[in-house]
Amino acid sequence: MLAAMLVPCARAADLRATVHDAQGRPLGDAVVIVVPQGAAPPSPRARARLEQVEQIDLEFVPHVKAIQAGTAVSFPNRDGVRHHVYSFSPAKRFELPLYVGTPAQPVVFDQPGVVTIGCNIHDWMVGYIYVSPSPHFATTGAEGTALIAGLPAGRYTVRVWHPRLTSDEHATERRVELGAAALAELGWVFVLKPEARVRRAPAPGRAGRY
Amino acid sequence: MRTAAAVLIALLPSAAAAQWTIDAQGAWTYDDNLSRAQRESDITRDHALELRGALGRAFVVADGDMVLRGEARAGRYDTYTGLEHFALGIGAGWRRKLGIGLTAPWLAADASFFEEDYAEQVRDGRSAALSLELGKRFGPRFDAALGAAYDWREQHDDLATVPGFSGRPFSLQGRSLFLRGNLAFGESWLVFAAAAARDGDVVSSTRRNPAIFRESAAIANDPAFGPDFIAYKLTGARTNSYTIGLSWALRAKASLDAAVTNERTSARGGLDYDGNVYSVSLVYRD
Repeated sequence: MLAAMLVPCARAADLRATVHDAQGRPLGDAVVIVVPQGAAPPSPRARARLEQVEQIDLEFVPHVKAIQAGTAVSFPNRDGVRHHVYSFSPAKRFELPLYVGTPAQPVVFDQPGVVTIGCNIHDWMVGYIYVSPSPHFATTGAEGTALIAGLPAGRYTVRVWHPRLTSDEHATERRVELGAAALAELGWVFVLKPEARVRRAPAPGRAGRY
Repeated sequence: MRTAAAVLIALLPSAAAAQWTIDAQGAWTYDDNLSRAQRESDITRDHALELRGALGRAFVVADGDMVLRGEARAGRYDTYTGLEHFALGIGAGWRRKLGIGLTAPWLAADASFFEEDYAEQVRDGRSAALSLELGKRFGPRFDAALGAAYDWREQHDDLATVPGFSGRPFSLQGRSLFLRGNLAFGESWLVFAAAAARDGDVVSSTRRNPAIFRESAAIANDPAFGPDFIAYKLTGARTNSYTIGLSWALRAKASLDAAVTNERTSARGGLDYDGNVYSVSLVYRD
């Protein structure tokens, strides 16, 4: 869950983010992005990594995956059926035609933004890859918290993205100044829209998967 | 029955290491015109428990999903026990998306063959069905499909009781056009509707009356409804049916459905009838 990818710093600070929905329930799968103010974004190629989004029991796992721009992602299929993974999102358009196992070539996500992924065989399968311009980010767990550790002291803009946000992620922005060896805590409460997802349960007259 | 069983047995061992599909359904139904009769005095009504199970093997053919399946069906009635039946069959279904993405249209074809064994001999027979369907999802909540189907049934034994008439009223065939749609409300609830028009043969059961002898193509005794009932076949009939229902997702692979279907049949000689079938079904699909 933690995704702070920092060079160890003797005077680092930590940021704990807490996210709830309007009913007060902890909100998982929220991506918290910490962007240094006034700093140029790091080169996407400087931090080439290999991450993965699996397909398990006909679902994308994890449902939301946060990565830094420039990261390569593989899409291993752990199911006994073929999947056909695709995305039409402007941040990354790609297609992995019907396959089992792990495709030979991972997909490189070099443009920041939200990439919605789907399976052309199983319409209910939907997942999200958040491509962060900043190396400082984390995704909340089921308890609704995320810890971004090892931040250098300084001024930051912090924002949150979630697939069910009703507004643009930039509307969630907060500015924070972190001192050395400090622990800052920020909290958000969001009114969520219903998830736009195809019902998975059997539908009458539909023996197949579409 | 033996033919279907033999094909099914031949299919299953070859799929031992393959991907399996399971489709199971249990339904309670109430039919308010089980005999498909015109006159109130001939109309019969009954509850039934119907079970269906299919085990299939899926693989890719022509960039589409192909499933070969073995299937069993059974029905048990409260009152008219002569209608109780067991059927064993095989089927093949194929689906392919005609493009990439949630809203890409899809094409599907299906074929099935069944051997059917009823408590009353007159209904024993074999049946086959073919269908071709073109569908499209218009977003996460709504999808619709248009299709055509052909159905065929042959009664095993010629049980002629009236000179000059075939004794196979349960040998039938017909062609249908259908339209169906599903509208989801979140991930749990879904309203579904369907309409179909079928042209072809129909069979009704009634007590003897002169009209059926003028218009029917085949007649046989139908003891399932009583000793004085006969089944008669009408050709060239039009049946319009309309279904509406509600589906509740119990889990990712199971749903509980409730539906009502209204059927109206128009046949030569004014031998028209209509009826409703109410059902509550538990469906599991994997």
